[in-house]
Amino acid sequence: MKSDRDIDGKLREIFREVFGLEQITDETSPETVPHWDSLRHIELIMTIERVTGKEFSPMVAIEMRSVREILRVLRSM
Amino acid sequence: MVENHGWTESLVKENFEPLSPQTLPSLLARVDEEQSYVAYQRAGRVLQAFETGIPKEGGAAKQGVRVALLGSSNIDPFAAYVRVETHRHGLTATCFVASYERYHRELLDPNSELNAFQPEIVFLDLEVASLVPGAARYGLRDGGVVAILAKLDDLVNAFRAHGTALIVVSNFVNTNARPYAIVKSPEDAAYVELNRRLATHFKSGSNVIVLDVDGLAGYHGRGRSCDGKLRYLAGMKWSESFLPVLARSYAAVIMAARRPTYKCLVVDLDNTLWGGVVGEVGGEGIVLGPNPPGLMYMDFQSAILRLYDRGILLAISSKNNPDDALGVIRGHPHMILREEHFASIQIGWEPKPEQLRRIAKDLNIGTESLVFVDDDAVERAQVRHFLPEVYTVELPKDPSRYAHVISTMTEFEQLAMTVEDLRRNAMYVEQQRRDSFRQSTGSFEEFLCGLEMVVEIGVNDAEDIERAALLTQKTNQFNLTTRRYSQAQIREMMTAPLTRVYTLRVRDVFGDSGLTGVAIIKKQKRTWIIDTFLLSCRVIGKELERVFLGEILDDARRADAEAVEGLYVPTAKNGLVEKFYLQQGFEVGNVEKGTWVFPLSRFSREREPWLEIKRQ
Repeated sequence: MKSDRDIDGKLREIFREVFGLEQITDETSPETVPHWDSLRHIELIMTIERVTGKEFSPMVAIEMRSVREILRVLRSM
Repeated sequence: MVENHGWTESLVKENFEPLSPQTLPSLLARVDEEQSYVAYQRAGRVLQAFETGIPKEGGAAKQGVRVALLGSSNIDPFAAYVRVETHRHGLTATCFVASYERYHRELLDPNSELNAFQPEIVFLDLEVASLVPGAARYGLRDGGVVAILAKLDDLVNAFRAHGTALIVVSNFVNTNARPYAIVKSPEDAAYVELNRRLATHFKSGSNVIVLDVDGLAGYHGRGRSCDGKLRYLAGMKWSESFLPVLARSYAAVIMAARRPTYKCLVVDLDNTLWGGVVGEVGGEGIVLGPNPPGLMYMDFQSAILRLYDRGILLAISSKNNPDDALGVIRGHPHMILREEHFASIQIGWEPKPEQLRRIAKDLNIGTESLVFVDDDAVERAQVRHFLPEVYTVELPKDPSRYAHVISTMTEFEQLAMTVEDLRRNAMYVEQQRRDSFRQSTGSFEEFLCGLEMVVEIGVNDAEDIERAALLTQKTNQFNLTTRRYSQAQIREMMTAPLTRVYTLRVRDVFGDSGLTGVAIIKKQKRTWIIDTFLLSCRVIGKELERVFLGEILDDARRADAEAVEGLYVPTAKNGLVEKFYLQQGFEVGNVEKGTWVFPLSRFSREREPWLEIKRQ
């Protein structure tokens, strides 16, 4: 298990890659990012899985719709 | 809904992703490396954003094709895959996508967005569970097979009423099969029956083809083709690993529908058909035999022989001493390909582009019909540079991969296999015999008499639709107007009251050349207008054009027409027939429009003594 700091840094990189966002906060979500639609969400999930080497169960993956949620799930894995 | 989720424009505007054509090569490289969902979506997005403006290697903007993807699951993300795999063949796909249950309305409603989109090709990837009520719960049952075929007929017929696109129906993958089943279930049997009946369900000429996705899934592994992950995450039927494979098969269909077919595989010899250089090691020293590494080359030759059996012409282009190379081809005990398999053999020291030009000339085809296979990267680069229209295969360094490259290439795929395809190689051998007969006879008349030709003229014969459409699509040289027609259009002209579709078949003492001529007549008051007049290059030079035209003029006279009007539309390839109507006694009509007129009051027919004409 990597440290929280590692996970934060990786997630920032992933958001830059998938959404082109330079800055993210815990509150970053489909409500604040206009291009975060259901199709782009799948790209986000698959990119996180590839980068972290972890695999989400599909229902968890669909429901984690904010940076806060994603961090919570990642830290619990 | 044309595929556009509202984000594409804003994405270009805000430029938060480097969406320029310059990023494409690196995105495509990532696709090659990962084959991943994410990589395909990114590359697909760039292709979509710039779909009309991406030049092909510095050349002009590429040609486009309008493709509709209809699926009973979520297939929206699949459009990116189709874009990428079509782009590899130099064609830009504009996609319309309808997921889930929308396909019913899109096909049935004449005012649907699908019809407004005017697709050229419609792909239907439907599931048993969507087509038969109850199947989602209880699976495919007795009666389900008939119900599915009837449902597909309804959808296809409804769409046919207002669209002429090629329809591609995927067959069905039994994802419920128990992998370890010892005794098959009734459902397993029903799937086998369904695919068996579907394969021949749509008649040739209906412009519907069935894509064997079940076979493709078998090749990939059925268990790996649907693994549940994307199903639960995104409502998609297929797995991440199968989507690229399926998209390549769609691209093969798109290319087969769009471009003239490749006709001939040209192979190098040393280190391609066998290992080693025969000029250095001699016939006994080359690597070719039933054990590895010689087996790799035998397998490669077997793969090429399968192309030959499908009607693909074979030719040799080799820098070699002819005696050395022919010695191997004729005498080596483990050669699978022999002299008789090759329609043209160029062995010498000319540059390869020159050898390829000679092969094309020999076979009376254009160099754009050639596929070139050579282990030498320098030779390949030279052919790519001087003959960019030739498809040059990127052969891997490792000869153990050669056979796989041949069996997975899609360049020779065709929408339908005709009897002529299967006979093509035999026909070229017959042609060689005709040529030597021509050289051994004295006058041209003697030659024609010696052939004992029998010509059959058909009019509006539904059996000829497929072949007639194909000839309009691929005949370039002896073609007065070069108008390309689909099977649906030919069918329509055969049934319309003011059009007639003529076909010409010919056989002689050397063999049957089959359907090799097409003419289309449009009647306008008392004038017959020749919309199309073409002959396959295999039968040129035997005065058949005069016979064919004579029959049409005779028909026109008997139908009380006053005149027959011909038209010559010049292209880069049909200079051969520039003076055709003049030679046939037509008078100049409208010079600007290129029309020629034959007043039937002048018509008199001399029957050619050297052939027999049969009318239906």
